[in-house]
Amino acid sequence: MSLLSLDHKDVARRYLWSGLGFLLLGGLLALAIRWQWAWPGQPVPGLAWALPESRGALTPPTYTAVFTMHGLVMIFFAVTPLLFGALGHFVLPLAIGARGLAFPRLSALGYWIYALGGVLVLASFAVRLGPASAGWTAYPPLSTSAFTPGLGQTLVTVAVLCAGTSAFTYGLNFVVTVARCRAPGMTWGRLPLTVWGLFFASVLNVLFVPVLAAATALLLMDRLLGTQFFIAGAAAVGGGGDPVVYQHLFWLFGHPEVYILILPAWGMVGDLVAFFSRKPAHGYRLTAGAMGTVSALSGLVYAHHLFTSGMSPLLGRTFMVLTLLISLPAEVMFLNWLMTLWRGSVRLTSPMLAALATMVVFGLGGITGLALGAVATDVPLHGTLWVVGHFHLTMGAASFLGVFAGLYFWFPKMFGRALHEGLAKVHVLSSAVLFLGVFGGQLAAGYAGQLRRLYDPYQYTYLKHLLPLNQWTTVCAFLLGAVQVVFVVNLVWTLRRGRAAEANPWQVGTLEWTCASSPPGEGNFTQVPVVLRGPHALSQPEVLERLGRDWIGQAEVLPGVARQDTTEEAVPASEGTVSTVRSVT
Amino acid sequence: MSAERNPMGGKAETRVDPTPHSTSGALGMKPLPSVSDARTEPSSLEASTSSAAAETANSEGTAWLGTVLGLAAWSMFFASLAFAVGWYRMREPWPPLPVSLLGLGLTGLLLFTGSGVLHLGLQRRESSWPARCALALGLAFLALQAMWTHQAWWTEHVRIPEGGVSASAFHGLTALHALHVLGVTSGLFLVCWRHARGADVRPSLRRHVLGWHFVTAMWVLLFVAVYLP
Ligand code: HEM
Ligand SMILES: [Cu+2]
Repeated sequence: MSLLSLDHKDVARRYLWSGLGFLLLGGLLALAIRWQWAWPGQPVPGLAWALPESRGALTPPTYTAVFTMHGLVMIFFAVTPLLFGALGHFVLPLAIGARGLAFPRLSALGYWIYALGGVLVLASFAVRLGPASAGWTAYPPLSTSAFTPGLGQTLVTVAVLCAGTSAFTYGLNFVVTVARCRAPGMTWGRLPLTVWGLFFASVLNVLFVPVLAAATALLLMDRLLGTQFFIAGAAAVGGGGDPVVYQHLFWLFGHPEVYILILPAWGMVGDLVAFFSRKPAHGYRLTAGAMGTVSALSGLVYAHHLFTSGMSPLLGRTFMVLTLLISLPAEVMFLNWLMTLWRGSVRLTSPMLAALATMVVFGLGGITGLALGAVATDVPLHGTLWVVGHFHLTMGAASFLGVFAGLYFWFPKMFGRALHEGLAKVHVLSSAVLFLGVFGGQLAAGYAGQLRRLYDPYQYTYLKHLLPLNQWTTVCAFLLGAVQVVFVVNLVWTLRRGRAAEANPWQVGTLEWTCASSPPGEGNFTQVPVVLRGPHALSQPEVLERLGRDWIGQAEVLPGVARQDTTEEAVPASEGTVSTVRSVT
Repeated sequence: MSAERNPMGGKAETRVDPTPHSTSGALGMKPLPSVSDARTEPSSLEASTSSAAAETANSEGTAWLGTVLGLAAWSMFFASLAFAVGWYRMREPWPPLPVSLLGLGLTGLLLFTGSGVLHLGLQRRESSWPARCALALGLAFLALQAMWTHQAWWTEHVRIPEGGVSASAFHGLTALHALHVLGVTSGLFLVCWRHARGADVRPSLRRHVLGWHFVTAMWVLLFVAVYLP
C-alpha cells in the first residue's frame, strides 16, 4: 500500500490505523483521569517518566490538560476519523456500486490535513506549559492567551482546524459521491441504511464544520493578533467582545457534531439488525426519513447547551421544546429497529452483538438526555457528571460500539481475512457491560451532585461519600481498557495468520459482499453492477424457492423472473449471474 | 475445524459462488485483470469514444456540483462571522468607521465588475481576456482593501486591541475575506497560466468563476455586517 495512493480503500486504511492510534492515546488519557478521581494526587503507575517532578502524580495543571486532550483527541482524532475516515471511506463507494469517491485527490488530501493536525496534537505534549487545557470545548476567556498562554493551546486549536478541514472535505466528497456516482439502478430507496446515515452526517458536516472554523478562526486571532472578539472584563482593552458568542458558535457546530458522530452508527445498526434478523428492515423509508428529520432538527436545538449561560427565558423554552421534539424521530427509528428484530431469526454474530449493544447504550444515553433537555432539570444537572455520563453513553459508548460493529462486519472485506468470532464476541460483550459500569457510575455520581472536571472532588464535604463509588467506576474503566487487548490480539493475529475470509461470510445481498472481491481490487468492481432491489432482500419466499438460500444479491437476477427494468446493456439472466453493465474506463 | 465454521452458525454451503469475480484472496491480493466478457464488450470503436466523452462530461458535472455545494456550505463560515458581529452590534453602539464608506463601496464594485466580466467571458469561446481582466480586478481589490485598512490603522487610529471589538471586526473580517479573494485570484492565475500553455481550461474556469461569485456575495455580507454604520 503506497502512502500516495488515491484509492478510497487505501485512504480508509490510513484513517483506520491513525484513528486506532489516537483511540489508544485518548483511552490512556481517560484512565489517567479515572485514576485521579479514585486516588487523587497519588502517582499514576507508569507515568513517572513523563512527570518526573511529581513522580507520576497528576498536578492540577496536568490534570486539566489531560481531560482536555482526552475529549479533543477522542472526538476529533479518533471516533470521527474511524467512523468517516475509515468505515465511511471504505464502505460508501462499494455499497453504492461506485468505482471510487467522486474526488479521490480531495480524499487523499483530506487525510494528510488530518495527519498534520494529529502531528500538531502530539507535538503539543512536548511544548512548554503542555498541551491545550481549556476543556475540549475551548471556551474563552479560559482559552485566550490571558488564561492559557502556552503554545500548546494554539497548536491544538490549529489541529482542530485541520481535523475540521478534513471533515469538510470528506463530507463534501461523500455527499457528491452519493448524489452522482451510484450504480445504475441504485435508486435512493435502495441505498443501505449505512449509506443514508453517512449521507446525512456528511450534509451536517459540510454545513456546520464551517461554523467551527469561524469560531476557531476568531479564537486564533484573539490569541495571536490581539483581537477582542471573545475577551471581556478585566482582560479586555477598548470595549472588548463577548465570550458567550463563542459558546453560541461552538454549539451551533457542536450539537450537529454529536449527531455527526451517531448518524453513521445509527445507519449501521439499521442495516445490521436487518441482516442478522434475516428480515427486511422494518419501515425502511421511515427509518431513513427519521434520520433525515433528526439531521434537519439538529441545527435548531444547539442552545440547550446554554440553558445556564444567560439566555432569554423565551429562547430557553423554545430550545427546550425543539430539543424534546428531536426525540420523536429518534423514537420512530428505534422502534423500527425493535420491529425488525421482532420475530426475526436473530443470529448473534459479533457485528450483531455490537449493534445490539449500541442500541442499549444509546437508548440509555438518550433517556438521560431528556433530563438535560428540560430546562428545570438541566439547571441542577448542568456541569455535573450526569452530563458526562449522558454524552459518554451516546457518543462514547454508542459510537465506539458502532465503530466496532462496522469493523467486525467489514473487516473480512477490508483485509480478506476473517477475525476470530469468539474473541470478537468476548470483546464486544465485555466492552458493553463495562461501558455501562463506567458511565452508569458517572451518572450516579453526577446525580449525587459531583461536578465535572474537579481535580479532587473530595475536598467538598458533600462529595466525600462518593469516593467508593468513584473507585468502583475506575475499576470498571481499567477493566474496560484491559479488554481492549482482546481486540488488539485478535487484530494482530488475524492480520498475520488469520484464515482467508469467505466471499460472503454474513450471507447478505449488499453490493460490497456480492459483487466485489475481498479485498476489492482497484476500481472495486470488474463490471459496474446493475442494481435490481433494495439492500435487505432477506428470507424472500421466491428466492428461497428458486435459489435455496435466504438472501439474494442487490444486483443478482432471480432466475426465471422477467426483468422489470430491462436496459439495453442488461446481461441475459442465468443462474447465479450478477447483472452488470459494460464498464467504461 | 473451527476455521471451517461459518460465523452465521449454519453449515457452510457448497453451492456455486454467485460472484464469479470474487476471490477470497489473501491479504492485499488484487484480483486478476478482468477477463472481458464477450457479451459486454463495446461493439464498436465509435461507441467507446462517445461514451468516453460522456464520461468526461459526467466528471465535469460532478466537479461542478462539488464546487457549488462546497461554496454554498462554506458560506456558513461568513454567516457565522456575521452572526458574531451582529451580536456585538446589538449589545452596544457600533462606532462609525472613520473610513470613507463610498470608497469601501467602490472597492467592492470591482468584485461585481469581475463577476460580470467573467460571466460574459464564459459565453465567449477560446479567449482568456476575461480571466486576465478579472485577475487584474482582483489584485486591484486587494490593493485597495489593504489601503483602507492601512489608512484606518495609521491615520485614523482604528487599532487592535485599543479599538475594541469594532476595530477587531473591521480588520479581522476584512482580512479573512481578503484571504478568500486571494485564494480565488491565485486560482484564476493558475487557469490563465495553463491556458497560456495551451491547456483546455474551460471547465476549470467555470468553477473558478463560481468562486469569484462567492467572494463577491460574501463581500456584500461583509459590507452590511461590518462596514455599514
Ligand atoms: C434524545 C436525544 C438527546 C437529548 C435530548 C440530549 C440533550 C442534551 C443536553 C440538553 C445537553 C446539555 C447538558 C448540559 O450541559 O447541561 C447535552 C449534552 C451533550 N450531549 Fe446530548 N442529547 C441527546 C442525544 C445526544 C447524542 C446522540 C449525543 C452524541 C452522539 C449527545 C452528545 C452530547 C454531548 C457531547 C454533550 C455535552 C458536551 C459537553 O458539555 O462537554 N447527546 N445533551
Ligand atoms: Cu446538544
